[in-house]
Amino acid sequence: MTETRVIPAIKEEVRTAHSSFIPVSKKFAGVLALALIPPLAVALWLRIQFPVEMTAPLFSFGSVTVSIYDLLIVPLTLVAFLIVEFGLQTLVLRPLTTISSWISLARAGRAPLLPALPNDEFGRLGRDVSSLVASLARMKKDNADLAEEKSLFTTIMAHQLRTPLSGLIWSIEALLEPTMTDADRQKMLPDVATLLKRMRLIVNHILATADVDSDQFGFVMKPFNIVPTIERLIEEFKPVIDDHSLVLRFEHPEDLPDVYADEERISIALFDLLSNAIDYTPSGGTITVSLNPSGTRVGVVVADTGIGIPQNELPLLFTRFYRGANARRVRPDGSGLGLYLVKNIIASHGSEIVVQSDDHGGGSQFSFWLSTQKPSSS
Amino acid sequence: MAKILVVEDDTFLCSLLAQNLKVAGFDVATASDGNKAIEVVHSFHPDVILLDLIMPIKDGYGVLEDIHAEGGAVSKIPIIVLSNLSNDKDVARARKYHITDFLVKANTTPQEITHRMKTLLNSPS
Repeated sequence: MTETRVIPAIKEEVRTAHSSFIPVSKKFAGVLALALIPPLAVALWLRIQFPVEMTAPLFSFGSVTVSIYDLLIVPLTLVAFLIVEFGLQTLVLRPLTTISSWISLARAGRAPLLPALPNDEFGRLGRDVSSLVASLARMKKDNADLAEEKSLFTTIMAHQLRTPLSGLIWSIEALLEPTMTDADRQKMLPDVATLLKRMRLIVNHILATADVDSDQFGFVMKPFNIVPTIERLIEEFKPVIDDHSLVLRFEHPEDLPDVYADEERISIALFDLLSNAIDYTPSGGTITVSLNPSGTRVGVVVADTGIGIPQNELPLLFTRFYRGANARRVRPDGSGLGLYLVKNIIASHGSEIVVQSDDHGGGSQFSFWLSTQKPSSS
Repeated sequence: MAKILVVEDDTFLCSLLAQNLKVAGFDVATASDGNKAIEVVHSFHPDVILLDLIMPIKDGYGVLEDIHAEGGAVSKIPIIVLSNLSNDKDVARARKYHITDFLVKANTTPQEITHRMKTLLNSPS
């Protein structure tokens, strides 16, 4: 069905492209010539109707007598033609040529300034075309930026996945070694499990980032007790915390009200905050997770005594792929996605993640509020 | 016994590789960051350095830079970069320091690396 519509349109375009270009002025001259036929016909009719004696006869060709009035028609018509032609050139063709050559320059990527145009329909057309070209240029740049960002994302993520992947390949090769004892194999399995968990985390980060970027974070908001959620996370991190000789404190009142939030997403956010706190706190340091109810809200705070974040890096902290200088020194292969996700998850709960940090030994503190009530709107 | 220095911040990968090289009869030392690597280069005098690029404190490029700047015998030690970075820019940046080879961790195994070390150290230089 659509084909029958498309084919004539294509034919029309091809025909137009191949037909020779006829300037509007020539077309206009033709129209003018046609327009001259009626006055000439009227003049002829008048000549037939009225006797030649009334119109000052000049000379005769046989039976036809030419009067002075007949000859006046010629220069008058010429003058009229020139006036119309001049008007056409000035009012229509010049602005059109200006716009057309401006478009040619713009297409060649030279981004010229739009020349002065009359304040009429052509002026408006010129300015409209100019703003269209500007928005096309912006679109082109946005597309290029997006392509670059996508490529950067793919590179970073591929590198992120390769690190545990190499561990897995290397350990499987080792497990297959005939010289390996069963005891050695047993000893290696927890490491393999850790690598798989790391891969799972990266894949979850990639998926969550895709959700955030396409604005399709499917939130399941319901009331839940956040205390066991945090206790589960702490349990998961316990081996690493012990390994790094850190102290983890969890402070909360016994009668804490349920929070109204997406448990899984909040869990991802807290996982990232805790994981950062562990990574960036030197041995012997303390990490404190605290829950502070206040009215219809619960304040969630993850504080550490770690290396801190310089003040000038704080505004960039939650940007995608951003990694602070201190962070890069300690954990060079971080993805720069964790805090970006945390910010978006918290923002989707109508809240805001707040960071306070001191890179002179005061550590960092990340905090946000969660509501205990279902929002009245939405 | 030929001596190999493994510079790798991932303790698990480092131990797998070091173990494999030891079993093959090499004398192996390890370092988990760039600064330690430079120290061990001077105390251990390795015949070959296997060098990771992304590491805390000082990265692999920093180690290459230092060794290159020091000159002398240290700068003659064959260096094989062992990284999961593989884009042209990273490879070119490392190759500026006349490294012997650039291997991608995920595309190789400790067995292959060990085999390569045997070939490299047995071949007349």
